Amino acid sequence: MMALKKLRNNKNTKGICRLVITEEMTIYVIESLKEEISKVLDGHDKFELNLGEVEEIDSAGIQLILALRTELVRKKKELTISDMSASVTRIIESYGINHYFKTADAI
Amino acid sequence: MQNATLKVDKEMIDEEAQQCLTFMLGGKVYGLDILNIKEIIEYSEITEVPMMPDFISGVINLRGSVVPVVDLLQRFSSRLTDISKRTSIIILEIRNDDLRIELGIIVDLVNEVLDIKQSEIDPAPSLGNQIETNFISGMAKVDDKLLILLDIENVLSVDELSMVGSIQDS
Amino acid sequence: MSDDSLQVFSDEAEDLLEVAEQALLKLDDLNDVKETVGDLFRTFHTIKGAAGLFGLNSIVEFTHIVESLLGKVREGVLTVDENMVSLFLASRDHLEKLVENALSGADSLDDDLKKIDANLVTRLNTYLGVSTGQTDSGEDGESNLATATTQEKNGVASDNWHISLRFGPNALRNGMDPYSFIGYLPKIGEVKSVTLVEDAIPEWCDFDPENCYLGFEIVLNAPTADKETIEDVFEFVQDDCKISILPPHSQIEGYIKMIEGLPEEDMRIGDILVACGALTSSEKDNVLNAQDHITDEVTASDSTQKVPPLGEVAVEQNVVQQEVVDAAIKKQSDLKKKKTNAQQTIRVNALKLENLVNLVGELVIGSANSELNARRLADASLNEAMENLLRLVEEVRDNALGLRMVQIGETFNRYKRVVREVSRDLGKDIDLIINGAETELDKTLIEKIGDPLMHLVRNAIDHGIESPEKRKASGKLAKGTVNLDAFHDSGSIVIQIKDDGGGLSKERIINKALAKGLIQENQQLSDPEIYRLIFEAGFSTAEKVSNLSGRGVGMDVVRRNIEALRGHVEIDSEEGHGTTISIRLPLTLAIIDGFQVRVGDAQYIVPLDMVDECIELNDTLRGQDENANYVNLRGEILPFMYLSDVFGSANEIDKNQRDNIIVVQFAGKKAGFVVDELLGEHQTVIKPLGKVFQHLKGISGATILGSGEVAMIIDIPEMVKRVEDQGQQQNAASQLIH
Repeated sequence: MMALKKLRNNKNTKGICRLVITEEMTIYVIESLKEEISKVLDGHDKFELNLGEVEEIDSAGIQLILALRTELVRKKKELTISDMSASVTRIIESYGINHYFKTADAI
Repeated sequence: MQNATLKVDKEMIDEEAQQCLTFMLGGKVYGLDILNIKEIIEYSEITEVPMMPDFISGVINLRGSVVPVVDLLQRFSSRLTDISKRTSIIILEIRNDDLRIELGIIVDLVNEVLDIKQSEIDPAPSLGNQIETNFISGMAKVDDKLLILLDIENVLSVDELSMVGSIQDS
Repeated sequence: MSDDSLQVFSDEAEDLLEVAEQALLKLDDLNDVKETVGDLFRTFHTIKGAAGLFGLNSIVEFTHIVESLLGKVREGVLTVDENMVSLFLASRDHLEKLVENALSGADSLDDDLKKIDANLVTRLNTYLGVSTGQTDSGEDGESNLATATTQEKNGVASDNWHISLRFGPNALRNGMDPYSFIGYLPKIGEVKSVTLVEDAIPEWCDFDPENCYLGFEIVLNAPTADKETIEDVFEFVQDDCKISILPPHSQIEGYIKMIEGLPEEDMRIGDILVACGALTSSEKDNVLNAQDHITDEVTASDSTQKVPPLGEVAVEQNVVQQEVVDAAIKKQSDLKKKKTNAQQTIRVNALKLENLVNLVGELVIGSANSELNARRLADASLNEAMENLLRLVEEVRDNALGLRMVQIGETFNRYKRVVREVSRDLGKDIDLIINGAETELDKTLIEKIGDPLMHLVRNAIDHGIESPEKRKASGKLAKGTVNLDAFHDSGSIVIQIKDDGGGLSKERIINKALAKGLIQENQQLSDPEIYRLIFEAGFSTAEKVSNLSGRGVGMDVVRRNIEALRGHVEIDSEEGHGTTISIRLPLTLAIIDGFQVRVGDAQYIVPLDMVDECIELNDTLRGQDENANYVNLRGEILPFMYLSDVFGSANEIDKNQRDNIIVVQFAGKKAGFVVDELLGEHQTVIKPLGKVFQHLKGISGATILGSGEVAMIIDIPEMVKRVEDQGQQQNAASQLIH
């Protein structure tokens, strides 16, 4: 299985760093995902996570989100999740962490 | 005169015979049913028991048991037995209620065991005997000698023996 | 069914039923009902189980109902009252009969038993209500355990399982995703909540995204599941996840019940918890490992910190609740207690014990014999060896005799029931207070003293204690007290029955005795003598002949029975305040420490524990009057007599020879006896003299000396009485003279 990840970095006008993760967010690609995110962490104060196109997600993926959230909270930065695919919603509900994320209306 | 048609053949009747141990006491010959006799021992040291009547000579140590010994002659005639080399003690076992009690009697000489048939026993005479009649269960003649059969349960009635003891006390 | 094993069952059942009776009587006190009911429940449960093993269905069925009712009381659904206790007592009695019936080999109950059985069952069921009650099969303990865990309950918060998961770092790498496990749970129950624990996720820079740092707290409602089932869900991830499963609160009751119902084996806490289902085997292993780790740490660091017990570690690990651990600990200590109790007692054939004691008696005599012979040889090392031997024989003697000693408490306890029922029948309120239950008596004595004692206790209840109204009228408490005391006193054992009732009326006794011709008019009697009249045959001062006593055959039989045991009985009373009856019995029937003396040609033995001292009878003691029969013993008046006078042997009147007085004591009274020679201590094997001498006073038995001679044992209590009487006669005589 070829790991396909696409991470598009958009700086939009509000100064929020938008992270869009597509296709999968699993253990297989999690290492490189972390690397990519690490690169932009210091450069912004607000982050938006768009998970609307994530087809496959596992606990590694959730864990990454949690780690990111913790890090941003620690650094007093903001994180919102702008969209969640069905699979993401399912796992988040299973894990009872819906309330963790402010979901912003799709911009 | 017996009718010839009826013959009573004495020898054919199964006669019960009593086996008796015969012994001498105070010059007379007595017999005792051996059913009650446990053993015969040599006369040995008798320990007196205080406050008991004279015919209770005392007690002896019979292989670890303390057994009372009665002087029959005393019981019959108030004469104490003279102890000689041949004096023996006959140990009897007598039933009293549910218990079996061991008792010894002092005798001058122990003779043999004889078979005495019922037919040979005459009832005890009721006159002038030195011994009380209920002590005697019958008389028999053996070899021209008069054998006095003792009813041992009466002679050595434990209840009586012990009662005598208590009267003595007061 | 072999007779032997039925006998075993019967013996065990008998013991258990006795325990049950005592416990039931305790219920009346209404203190600590909970614990007593728990004990009762377990006792009947055990009987039921045993009966089940032997296929004794009638017993199983009946016991089951009793057990059910006890169960309801234990749960607090029903409360105990006097009528229920009476019903339980009646049921216990019925069980006794059922056991007897079974022992006799009967296959079924006869009509009488059936009737009683039906009646009791109906009454028991009335308490239980119309409902069918417990649904358990009741064959034996094990199946009960199973049903308890699977009881249906409505979904209440307390019915939820708590599952705690802490995944290890390699879980994700090994292909174990928490998501799939959690996703499986709905198959076995309703997932009430999942709480994700992210504490373990490190800082971003240290965060290795392929590690698993996740933990979960899950609340699962699964009433039909057991721990095993839930654990199985996580079977594959066991190596990569710390799992702890806490059963619902409602299950705790079930676990505790299970623990209590566990069979009587010595178990370790961990095993108890696993057996009741509160812990799974793997959980137990984990806890043990954790405990080992702590142990290693403690030893490594050489600290004084104590390694926590398994229960504590388990609670810490969140695999079991504290209450369950507590129940397990209690069960373990109960088992230990039962085990040590069981180890402490062993059933012995009474005949074998008697044989042993007889042999020990022979041993004592034989060694005395050896010692005599040895002394003649005057060899120092032989003498020393003999001394050792004699000492050992004495110890064996004490131990063997000790085997026959039984605590009188067992006998006393029987009377509690009598007091309860009789006082109820008579409409009186009476308490039975027991002291000295641990006092030990020879077994034969206990068996023979039971009936006389019972009679005296019933007397106290019947005639002694007045009705509550009468008591209140005379300013007493409505509740009467009967005291049963037992204690040792200088070689005797004393049993006292004391009541705070109306006491004895001396006047009535005297009148009655006069009427029966037992005494003369104007006969001077001391108080003890007046009270002693009660023991005369045909005597009874009860105005009404009640069902229980007062038939006039009681007290003299009681006295005769006690005297047949070489005992004595005395009454003391205070009119209006109560009566005390004191029974004195010799401590042992078989072998005693004796003191050998010579009087004339004969040897005698004086029981050593009644001997105070030996003194010389010299002129200074005797004082002026050569004919006096008392001496001045350090300011005390000591009456004495010459044993040679009593026993009829010649007085050894030898002015050069000193007379010796043995000073003895019995029931607080002292007396002296002059003997010709003191011969020292002697282990005395008591040989009964037999019926021929039964009325002989002054001699209580005989013994065989080492030399083979027979020696008489002096009846000290009787002799002391004689000295006393003699003294009184002399007083009366001297009074007449003056």
